Amino acid sequence: VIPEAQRLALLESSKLKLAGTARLAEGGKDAGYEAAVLFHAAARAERRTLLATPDPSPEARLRGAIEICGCFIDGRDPIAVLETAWGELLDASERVPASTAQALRARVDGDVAAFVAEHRHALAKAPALKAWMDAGAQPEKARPLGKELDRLLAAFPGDARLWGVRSQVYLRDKGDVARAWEANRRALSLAPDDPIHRQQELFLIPRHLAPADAERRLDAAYAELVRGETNTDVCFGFIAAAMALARRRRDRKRLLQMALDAASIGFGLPPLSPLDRAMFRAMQLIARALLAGHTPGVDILYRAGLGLWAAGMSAGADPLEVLTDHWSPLRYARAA
Amino acid sequence: VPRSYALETLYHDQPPDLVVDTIPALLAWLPASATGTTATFRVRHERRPKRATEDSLTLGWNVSALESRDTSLVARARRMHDGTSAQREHVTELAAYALALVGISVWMPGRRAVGWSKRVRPDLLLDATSGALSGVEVAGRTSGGYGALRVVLEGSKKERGKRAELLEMPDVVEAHVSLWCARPTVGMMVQVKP
Repeated sequence: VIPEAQRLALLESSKLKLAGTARLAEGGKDAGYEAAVLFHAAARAERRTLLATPDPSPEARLRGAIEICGCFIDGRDPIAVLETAWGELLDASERVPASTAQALRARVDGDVAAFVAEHRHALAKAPALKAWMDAGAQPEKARPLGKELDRLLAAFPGDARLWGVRSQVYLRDKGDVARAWEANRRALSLAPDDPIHRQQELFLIPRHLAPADAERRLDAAYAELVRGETNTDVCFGFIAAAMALARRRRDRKRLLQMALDAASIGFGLPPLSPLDRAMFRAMQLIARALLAGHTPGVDILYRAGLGLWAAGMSAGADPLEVLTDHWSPLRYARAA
Repeated sequence: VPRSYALETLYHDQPPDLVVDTIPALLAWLPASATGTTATFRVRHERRPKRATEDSLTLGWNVSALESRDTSLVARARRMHDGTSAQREHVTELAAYALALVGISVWMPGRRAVGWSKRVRPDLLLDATSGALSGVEVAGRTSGGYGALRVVLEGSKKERGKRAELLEMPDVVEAHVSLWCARPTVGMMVQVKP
């Protein structure tokens, strides 16, 4: 008899894997993506199964790692396989006898090799995208990548980061907010805990939703921020969203105060990039200027220690736009 | 030994979460001659080496009763039946799981699957106790009859058989193999460990 928590988590992961397989068997236009969402959820449930297993044996840990890796292969997510799942599987293999590892990995080794080869082959056919990623993944230089991204996403519809980049490209290339929103929604469905996608969602909220809906969503996000359930990526997204919405709402003071609070919360969080604190300082100054009824200028960037970004800008340039242009490249360079 | 099983009973005998996505595939996978309300399989059942019996399993189903559990059953089964060859692989896979769950219910009465491993043997877990697993390894073939199933079980020059693969699993204390073929409709339920 196994503990109830383990039984339920195991049943949940099994159900999701079967549902993903059934979705593939049914076919149709979005079958690959919809199955990928189910397999990603199954991978998370597999992790919960292992956590709920009392004193799991090394073999049980390896079995769990294999299933998680398999979920990401079936979920067509090469980044998850290469960055986490395969490494965890190799690590777990070190803790069992070689013959046991060989027996347990009889199926998955070949599947991983084939999947990685398929991904390398596909990347080789996307030279512009690969060069863009190697050069630091600057979103403003991603405009000509649309076709290559679409080809890769057709082959790997479970790659959340690619959906995130696709969202950026839709927004920056054609200003297509609706498609940017949909691409980012797909990224979030696959990887709901990835703050990069949460940031992009927050950034898009005032641009895509009706003002009342946008404000309701920001209120919920603000509650998470003040509870401390956040990181700097989410704070940046929230501040940009609150300030953008404040331009369109009568109750702008409340939104600006929320932006100022978020900037202060972000300032106190562990920075993810060296300039995070300087950017939060600049956002505090921008919010304070707006609350006082002033128009913030680029002098704020000098005061926050971001003078290099301000140099060459006209005195009337919007410092928030300068910040927005700079933080996204930093984030996407890290993600890529 | 003639046996019969009503497919809708599977929702009682096994966890519904493991059943619901396999039934449409089974209905899509069964040959045209069986798409009324019944299909009969000849099933070789081995609990001990060289002590095999051959049973006849008549599988019946009531679509209305099944639809009460899955309102999209007929549409899903149709999509699976009409799908491309790439999709057929998954249909066969899921149909074999449905039949394996039936096999557990018929030949191991009272036992229930508790989970499904897609990439580590055995596929269907009957007991997930860490280090002492019990389960059923499953495979399906569209054609080839007992000959094709025997190759899956015992292996060939090109590939290892499921019996040998299960025997070398150190954390599996009890293992069965459940194999199914659509043309002709035959199956095997074999205990390989202990």
